[in-house]
Amino acid sequence: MILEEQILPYMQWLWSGGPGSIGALPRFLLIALGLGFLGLLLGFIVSAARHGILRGGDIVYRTITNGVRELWETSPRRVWALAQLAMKEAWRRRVVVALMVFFIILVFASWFLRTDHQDPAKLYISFVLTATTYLVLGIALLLSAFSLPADFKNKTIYTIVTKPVRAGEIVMGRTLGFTLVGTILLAIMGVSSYVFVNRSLDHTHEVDINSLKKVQDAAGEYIGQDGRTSLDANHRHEVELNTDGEGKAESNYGHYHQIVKRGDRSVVLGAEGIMRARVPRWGKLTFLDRQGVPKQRGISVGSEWTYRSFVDGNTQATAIWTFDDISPALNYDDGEVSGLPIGLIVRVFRTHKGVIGRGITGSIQVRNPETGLASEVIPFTALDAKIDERIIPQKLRGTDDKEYDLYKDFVSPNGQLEIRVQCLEGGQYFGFAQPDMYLRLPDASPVVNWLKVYASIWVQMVIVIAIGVTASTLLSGPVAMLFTVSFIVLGFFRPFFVGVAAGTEYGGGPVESFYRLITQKNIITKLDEGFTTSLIQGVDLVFRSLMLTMAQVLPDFAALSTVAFAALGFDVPADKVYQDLTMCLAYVIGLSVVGYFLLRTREVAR
Amino acid sequence: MNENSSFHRKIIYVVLLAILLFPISQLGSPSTLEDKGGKLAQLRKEYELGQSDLGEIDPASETIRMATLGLRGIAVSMLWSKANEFKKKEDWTNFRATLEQLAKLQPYFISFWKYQAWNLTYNVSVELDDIRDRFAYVLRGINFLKEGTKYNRDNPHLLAELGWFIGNKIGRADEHVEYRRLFKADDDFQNSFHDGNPPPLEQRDNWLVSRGIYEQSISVVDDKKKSIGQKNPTTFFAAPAMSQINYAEAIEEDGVFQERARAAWRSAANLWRDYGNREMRSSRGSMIRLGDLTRWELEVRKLQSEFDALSMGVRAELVAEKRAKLPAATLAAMGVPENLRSEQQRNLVNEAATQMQISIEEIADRVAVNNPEKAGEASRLANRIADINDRIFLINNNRQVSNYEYWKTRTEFEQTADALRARELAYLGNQAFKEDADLLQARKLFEESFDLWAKVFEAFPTLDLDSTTGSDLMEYVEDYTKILQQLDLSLGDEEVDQRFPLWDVVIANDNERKYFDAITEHNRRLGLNAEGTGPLVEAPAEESTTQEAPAKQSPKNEQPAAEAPAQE
Repeated sequence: MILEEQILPYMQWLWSGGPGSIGALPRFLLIALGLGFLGLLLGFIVSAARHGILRGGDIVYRTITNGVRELWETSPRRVWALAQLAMKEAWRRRVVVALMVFFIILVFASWFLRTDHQDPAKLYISFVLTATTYLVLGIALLLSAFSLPADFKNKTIYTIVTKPVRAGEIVMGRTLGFTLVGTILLAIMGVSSYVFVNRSLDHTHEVDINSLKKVQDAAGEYIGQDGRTSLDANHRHEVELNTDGEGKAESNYGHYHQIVKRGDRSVVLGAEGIMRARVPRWGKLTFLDRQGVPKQRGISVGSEWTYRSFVDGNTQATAIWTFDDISPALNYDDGEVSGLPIGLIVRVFRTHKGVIGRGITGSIQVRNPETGLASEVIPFTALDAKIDERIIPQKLRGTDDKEYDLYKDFVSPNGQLEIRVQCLEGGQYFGFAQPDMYLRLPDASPVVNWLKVYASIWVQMVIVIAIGVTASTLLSGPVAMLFTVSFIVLGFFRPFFVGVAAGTEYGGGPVESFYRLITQKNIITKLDEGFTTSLIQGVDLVFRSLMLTMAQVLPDFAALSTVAFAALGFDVPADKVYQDLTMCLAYVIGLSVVGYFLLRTREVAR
Repeated sequence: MNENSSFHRKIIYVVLLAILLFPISQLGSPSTLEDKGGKLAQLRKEYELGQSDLGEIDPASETIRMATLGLRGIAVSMLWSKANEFKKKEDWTNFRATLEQLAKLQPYFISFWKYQAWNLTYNVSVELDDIRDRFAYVLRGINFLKEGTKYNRDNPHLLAELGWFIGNKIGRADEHVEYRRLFKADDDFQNSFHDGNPPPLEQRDNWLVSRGIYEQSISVVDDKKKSIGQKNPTTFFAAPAMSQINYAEAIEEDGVFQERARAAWRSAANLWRDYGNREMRSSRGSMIRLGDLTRWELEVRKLQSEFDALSMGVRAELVAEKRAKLPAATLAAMGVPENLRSEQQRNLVNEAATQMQISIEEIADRVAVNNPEKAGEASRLANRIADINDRIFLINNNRQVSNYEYWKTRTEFEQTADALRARELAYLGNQAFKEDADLLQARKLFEESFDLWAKVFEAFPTLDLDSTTGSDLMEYVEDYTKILQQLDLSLGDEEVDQRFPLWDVVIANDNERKYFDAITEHNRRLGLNAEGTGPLVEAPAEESTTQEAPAKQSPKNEQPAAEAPAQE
């Protein structure tokens, strides 16, 4: 699977962060401090302007101390009561209509989705999960942004604030209530979409009797039949049957079928392997260049996308993965083969055609990183851009031709193992990224994986609700909606937003790109030196600083999404789920505090 | 202004609206199965302006276009951007899915279909390593383009593009051997491509299918009067014949000869003849036929002789007048023999030659002055001759573009028994060499093949030695030299030289001078120099002794010289 950002272990993510970044908790505290300071400053300036410096300072002090006390004394019972109120309000506002829209999308999806793709599951899963995400975020937006402003407009806010509730409880109650409504909707959507995907992709075939040919072994004995299935769902499978007429329809279009004998017919059963949740354990990737010098990356073959780097064939260039915590517990043994299961994705790049119709050969070798003991070379033919699921045998020969045990001899005492891959053909290249080799742990449950993906959608929904409720404490309904929409849109384009803010994107900042737009200059052309350019770039410097500051609080919705895991058939790592939930908690807590103070500025909430 | 007058005005407006409804309903009434409909519907049908005249109407496409609520342009821009992003990140599944969405949003945009089909067939396919995956994407691009032809039924550009993909990509790619085999064997594709009526196996050759598509594109131009836009008619209309020619070549490459190959070449010759007889618009707007060159040349010769008879002596008169006006220096330069002229003199003479060119119009004008009674006839002949010369120029140009003369000759000689047998022998020789390792048999077969090729060249003297056929033969010669090498022989050896009848072909096609040594030896045996342009000039035999003699003699010479003064 394509994983452009490494998923850090949870504790590392929380405390220390990855290379070039700080941990999530220190970042949250820094942002909280920054925002807190900014709030204090702003509050003091406003109060001082109204009431004078001393009195203004006193007001600010009291606001802070009262706020801390009130937040501390928040009553879960009152929050729950207000949450129930929010749920009733959502029901009254016909939030169920969203479900209707969802079902209509599912019903008509077949008009736009085809099954004649190499991997139809990817398409279907990606479609339903993305549609769910957009729909649920839309619901969250509309519910949260208009709720409080509607109460203010209809004066029903007085029916709440006249009760002994605190401003913080109003904010948290709304957030909780809408979250629960959204959760119920998500649950219904999750179940329906799972059923939809499975039903849409489920199919079967007939064995094409005319295609069956007898297979004989070297001694001329009949050992079975080979053939193919009928054409269904725009594809066929190659069929291998044993003498009993049972066997398998080989993998094609991301799935396979078992074939069983029923009466005198061989019957093809339903599709298997469409929904998978592979559990990978990733290692660390380094390279040796063609002279055998260690490097962090391989060479470039000129691809614009630099996710992968390449090793030259028939040279010392090698891709080396180092895996930790290897033990015999990872061993796979089905009676026929025993060894360490790995998944390997090779991106083949040819500089000449070679032998047309024949794949490029490579080699795999295991090595003990401490003793340097290396195994014999295991040749393989690269499956370009497909997952090659292989087993490194437990019993291996070393380069000295002696027999060794993988776990006892090639794994270091601290549980590390190196797996090295080379390309054997001159003029050809193998491309790798770190996630392109992984240890294959037993598959997880696709249903649980589906739940985890929905958890990440839930996290995004909760963040949008928190933003919407917070914005609506101060702004009118449409303005709060626009504010929340901006957050969502910027959140989805966060990497681009940060790129513009940091100056790494072509075309300069907002003013410069607008200037380029109206003067029809492309983003690469240098602007003429002069006063105008200097002015534009000066203003952009200010804008970009603001953007960088704002980027710290923008949620990265693209990174929060785990749709790609389900679409590609990989299990969402637990670390990722915990990280997303922690992010959600951080946003809810932070935005609740901000919402409390904003609501307190309103007359009604004093 | 009171309420009453406002009310009356409103009544008048309503009445006027009601009256207008009648002509509107007449003009705008839709056509049905039984009824032609109103004027607008009739005009729509007559000028084929309705959406259904473009092609299929797809409810999904209509739905998604309406669902964009006027923001179709933005949606399309975003999807194009997403498609490029997926292509960059090699996510082929999502790339194709995005193209399908785009196809629903802009089904009548021809360039979209051409561009993205090319992307799939030519760009995405080569990114995959397994040949079956590559072929799958080649077919996906072809299917994508075929879908485009459903939405744009009578578009000759899309049809021609489809013909090109099936012919050129499958038949000319490096993997063409595998692609052609897979194309014929893919029952599912053939079934769906031909809408449930797949042709029999022998008709499934990619070149034949390509030819069929090209013929469809031409019929759309001929029968439905569709325009080919900026396409060159010379290459557009040649496409079916070229596909048939490529088919004939391809089956011979696959080892099919005799009657099937002859039939294929015969069909190619017929198609090429039809192509030559087709009237096409030239770049200057006039209609020409490539096959009419001889006819026009004869016509112009006849008219020229009539004109010369009419204008006797006028040309010489005009030449003399123009010569008299030339500067003295130029005249002087013209008097110098050609091989003795300096560069400046040569330039002056060339300029003079240009200035002294007499056009047929000038002769006609002079005839009109000298013999007014012949003016009309002279002018008519001059105009006609100029017109035909212009036509001949255009025909020659266009014949060069399509290599008309070569393919005409080629389709004729390839049908002959000699050529068919020659190719068969070369094929068998190749097999004997590469598969059976029977060097002697392979050499014998190639030599028999070359003998037959020599006869073919003799029978068709207009066939250029350095044409495509020459290149084909060089491939056979290359294989032949490899066989000779294995037998410790070379092309330059005397026994091989005497047996080899295609020296002219080798000499004409040896651009890389691979056979320079062999050619030099051959020329030497014929008494020619290395280039074969003149007699062999033997290096003087005494050169080496003559050079030594002065060295030896000089001391002897010196001695008498030294002695001489003493004697004196």
